[in-house]
Amino acid sequence: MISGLCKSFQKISIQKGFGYSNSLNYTSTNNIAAAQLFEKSFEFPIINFKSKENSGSIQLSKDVFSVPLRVDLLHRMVRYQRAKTQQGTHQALNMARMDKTNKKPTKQKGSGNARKGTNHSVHFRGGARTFAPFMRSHAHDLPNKVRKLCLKVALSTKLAQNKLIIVDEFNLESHKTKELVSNLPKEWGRSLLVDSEISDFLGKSSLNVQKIDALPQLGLNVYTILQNDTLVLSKSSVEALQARLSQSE
Amino acid sequence: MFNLANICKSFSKITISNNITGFRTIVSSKPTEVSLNNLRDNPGAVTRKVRVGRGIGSGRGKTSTRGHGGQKARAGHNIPRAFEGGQTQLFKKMRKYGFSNAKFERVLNPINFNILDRLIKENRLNPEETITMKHLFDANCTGAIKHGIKLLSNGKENFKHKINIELSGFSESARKTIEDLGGVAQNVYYDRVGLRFLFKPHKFDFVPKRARVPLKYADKYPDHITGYMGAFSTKGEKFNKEIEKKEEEEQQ
Repeated sequence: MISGLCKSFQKISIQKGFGYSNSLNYTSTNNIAAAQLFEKSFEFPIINFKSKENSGSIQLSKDVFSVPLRVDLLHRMVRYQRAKTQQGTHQALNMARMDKTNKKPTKQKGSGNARKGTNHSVHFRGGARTFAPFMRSHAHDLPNKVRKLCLKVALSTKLAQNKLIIVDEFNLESHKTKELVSNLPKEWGRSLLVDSEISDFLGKSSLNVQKIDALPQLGLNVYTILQNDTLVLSKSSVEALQARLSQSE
Repeated sequence: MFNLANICKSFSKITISNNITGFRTIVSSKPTEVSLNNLRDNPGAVTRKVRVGRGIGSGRGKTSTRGHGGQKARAGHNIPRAFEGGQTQLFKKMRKYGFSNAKFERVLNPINFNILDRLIKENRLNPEETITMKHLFDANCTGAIKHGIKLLSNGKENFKHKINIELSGFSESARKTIEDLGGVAQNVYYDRVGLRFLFKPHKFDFVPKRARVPLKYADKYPDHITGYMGAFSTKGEKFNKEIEKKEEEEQQ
C-alpha cells in the first residue's frame, strides 16, 4: 500500500499554492497509509557498532529527519559557513595608504617625457593598487531559525540518500586507530561519527585518519555533513539532537 | 511497519510550488541530486546590482539616471522633507499644539513559563526560595526594566515546578497555573526608585521609602497601602481599620 502511495508521488507536480502541504495528493490513498503519513515520528533501526547487527529501533521525529529537501537552504548555509571561516588576511596598499614622497618628479613641461604628478601612482611600476583589498571579515548574517532548519534539511538529506546510520554506542577498547578503522566498513566511505560527547578513545583514534571525522553532537554542522559520505550517529546524540531541534521546544 | 526503502522512495519527487503572486519559487529536489558540488539558490533569489554610467546601450549611461546637473545630481545630496528653499517652513510658523499620554504608559516587561523553566533547569533560579524580580534581573532574562515584570502563560503546559513568585503582574492563566501547581503568585508594587533600589542597592546610601500604590492601581495590589505623594488616601489601610472599628461598635 505504502509503495503504491509513494509511486504516486514520483511524478513531477507543478501547481500554485502556499506550500508543500498543498502539493500532496491524498485522493488515491487508503486510510491506514494516510494515518501513517500524518504520524509525527517513524521507526528507524539501530545497529551494533561492532557486529553490525540489528539491536532495537528508535523513533525519529518527522520535524527533524523528514523535512523537504531544500537545496537552496543548504546552499545558503554552506556559503554562510565558508564565509565565516574565511580568514580575510588579504592586503595591499592603495594611493592613500602608500607612504612615499609626494614631490613632483619632473617639471610639467620641457622634459620630453610624459607629465606626471607622483612616482607611485596607480599606473607606475611599484605604484599603488586601484581597488586594494584590506583585511576584513567576510562573515554575513543568516537568521537563527533558518540555520536550525538547514541542519534538519541536511539530516533529512542523508536519511533520504540512505546514508544515515544509527549505532547504539561507539564502544572502543583502546585509543588505537587500527581498531576504529577495522570497525568501519569500506562501503561507508568517508564517514562522520557523531556522539553526544567525544570520548578520549574516539577522539584520539580518529585524529589521524583522512576519511574519518568525529564531532560532538553540539558541533554537528551542514558543511561537514555534506563533505562526508556516511553520517554515523550514536543513539544518545540522536536523542540530544531531537530535543534540541524539534519544534515543540 | 515503515520499510526504509519505501520512506526513501517518498522523497524522490520534484516539487515546485509557486506563491499566489508567482514571484517566489522554492525548489526541492531528488535526494540523489543533493551533494556539495550540486548546490544552488532559488531562481531569482539574488538580484544583480544595477551598473550606471556604462554606455548608451545600457540606458543608464551619460548622466547616470540623475538628470542634468543641479543640487540633486551631486553626491551625498540630502534635502530635508519640509525644506522650502530657505524660507521659514510652514511647521515653524505654526505654534506647538497637542498632547499624548503615551509616554506615561506603564509598560511591564513580559516573561514566560518557558524561560522560567529553562532558568530552573540550568540552576540559575532556585525554585525553593521566593522568586522576586531581583532574581530575574540578575539572571539576565529580560532587558532593561522600567516599570516591572509581568508573567505570561507561554509554555505553561511543560511547567511543572511549585514556586512562590512575586512580580508586578500576572496574566490570569499564568496565575492559575502557578496556583494549580500549589505555588503562590503575589502582586508587588514598586515605583521607579523602589525598583532601582531593588535591583541595584549598592548605588544607594540610604533606604528609600516604599511607595504607596496610586488609586487607579488599588485593585491590582490589594495587599499594599494606597496613597499619593506620601499621604494616606481615603482608601488606605488606616481608613479601613477605622471603618472596621465602627462596624464592630455598631454590631455590639
